[in-house]
Amino acid sequence: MDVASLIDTSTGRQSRSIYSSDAVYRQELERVFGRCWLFLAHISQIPRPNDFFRTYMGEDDVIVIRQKDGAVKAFLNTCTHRGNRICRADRGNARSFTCNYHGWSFAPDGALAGVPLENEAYFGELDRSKFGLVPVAQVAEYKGLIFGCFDPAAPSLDDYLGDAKFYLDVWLDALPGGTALVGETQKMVLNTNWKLPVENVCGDGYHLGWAHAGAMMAVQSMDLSGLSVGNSSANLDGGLSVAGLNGHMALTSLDGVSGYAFYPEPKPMLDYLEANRPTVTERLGKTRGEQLWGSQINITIFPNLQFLPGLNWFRVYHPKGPGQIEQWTWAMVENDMPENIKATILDNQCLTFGLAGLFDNDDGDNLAACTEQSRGWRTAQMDVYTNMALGRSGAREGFPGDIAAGLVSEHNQRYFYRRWQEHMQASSWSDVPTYNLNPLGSREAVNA
Amino acid sequence: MNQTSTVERPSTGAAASLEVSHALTQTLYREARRLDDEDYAGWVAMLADDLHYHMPGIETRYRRDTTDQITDLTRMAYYNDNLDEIKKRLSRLETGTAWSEDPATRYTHIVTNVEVENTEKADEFRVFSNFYAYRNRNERDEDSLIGNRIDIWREAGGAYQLVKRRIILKHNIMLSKNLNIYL
Ligand code: FES
Ligand SMILES: [Fe+2]
Repeated sequence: MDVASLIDTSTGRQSRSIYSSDAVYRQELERVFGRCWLFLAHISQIPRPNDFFRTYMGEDDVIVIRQKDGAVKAFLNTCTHRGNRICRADRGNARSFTCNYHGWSFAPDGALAGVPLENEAYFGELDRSKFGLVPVAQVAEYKGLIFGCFDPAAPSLDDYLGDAKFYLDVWLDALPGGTALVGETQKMVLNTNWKLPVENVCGDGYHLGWAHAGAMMAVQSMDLSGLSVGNSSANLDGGLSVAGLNGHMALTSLDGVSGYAFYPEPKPMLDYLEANRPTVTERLGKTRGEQLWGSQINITIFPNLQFLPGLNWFRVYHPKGPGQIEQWTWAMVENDMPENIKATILDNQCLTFGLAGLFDNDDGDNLAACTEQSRGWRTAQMDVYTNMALGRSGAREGFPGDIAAGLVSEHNQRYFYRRWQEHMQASSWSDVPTYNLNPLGSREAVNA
Repeated sequence: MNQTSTVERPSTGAAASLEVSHALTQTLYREARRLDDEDYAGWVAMLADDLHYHMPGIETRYRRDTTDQITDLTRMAYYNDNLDEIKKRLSRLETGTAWSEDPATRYTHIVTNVEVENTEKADEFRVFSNFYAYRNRNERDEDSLIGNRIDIWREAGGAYQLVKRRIILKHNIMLSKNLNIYL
């Protein structure tokens, strides 16, 4: 496959075939989902020993299990006998997992613990140690977020996240109590290629005032970088598009409050921010404490994790073929929040985003139609562009990354596709470049 | 917002009179027709000021897992709305800028299995029903939403108003790209 021809970062061009081709998709499963660190679960979802949570890595079904000693392991959710799915619940607590087919049972540490008729039918000759559940090669946690990686040669999670941690910490490390995901998993099927929702959230502030005009009129209570109905007064000084961080991105306003702009009654949230801002500023410094915490921030961890402190939704996209995803959403809270604030967040998250959310009602059709319009004989040969504000990025005092002004720009999308191309072209991790542009303390200009 | 939803209680379990049962069954049909017609003003007129409209999200759990996924209001719900919140949702349609609602979705609500019970309050009745809601959009978007409802309806001035509704949808993964529908 000629991956070089599919993306041109210098002009912002993508071939539409990347949204519809089966060959591209199979290679993504290998080189993107088979290689990158993927979000598995939040520690709040498996707090006790033997708690489990079921998820996907690419199309592979995985169980994440809290061990007796507090560690977390992850296994492919498939019986080593004939391949049946061993766990059918979304989450729960289990001292063992027994396969429904012939009754093999596995301990939470993956060991094959029981085999019916082991002596009689296998004549005691089955080497159980060779038939434990197959583990995910690497599992690691960053401040409450558990990630897994199929590639034993991948860099550490710490290196993978790199300087994106500066932005991640605005949620994960703002307050001493840490964070949690709350509520059941909100799952829906969307007939879109998985890259389109990622692109939409990682950088596309452009669509907000247009696609979501009706939703904004219904719930917007405060200014968000001048973004309003019809995009009439977007203010490019009001936000940053941050990329150039190993494929991770942040899109953020800078006022420290507009994360709550889509709460019809934001007063209790603003009081919470005011009461806790000194603590956050002490922990994270002035830039993040005053400008980022409480702002509208879209954070993207390559390839398929996105979360938005403020609007407070946390989401992962599981690909199901080139033209379909499952979108899983949770509400996100800080553990130090009073209960009534947590309840308001969960309610507002469901009102705005997620299946019945006013905003998500708008996005589904657009993403599905962009996918469909890449599948025709003629359209699959056509291109699409993210060429807004090409070449208008650089360093910003106090913020790591290669940065463009404003929430309305296609800067982040270009970096997303650049990273995608880097992975798709590389035959192993050793061919994948690492970059954390403009690390704090360094002020060299960046030539993206 | 209270922490547990009480649409199941208090119950006398006794069937309501034929007259009340008939009137409430007709009320459910009228409500379904208004929703089919996108007559949301007509629908809102059937809702009580103290409405609680609740549709919890349901995960697949083992039988031994006794987590209350239905009545615990601190858990996730697709709808956990009072009247103001319902009106806020509907106001999006009235802005004229909800592009995704144009062309319109075509709806059919089918309501069946209606049972009407008296409650401890003389003017309030518990109504069980099942629904089948079919949507068709654009060229070939279609989906079916099927589930159970438990309602409390209150008699006021010769008509009935919806006070509480619990909707139990049967999906784990929603097979549709949004929920621009009331059930
Ligand atoms: S497939 Fe699991 S026990 Fe046979
Ligand atoms: Fe959107």
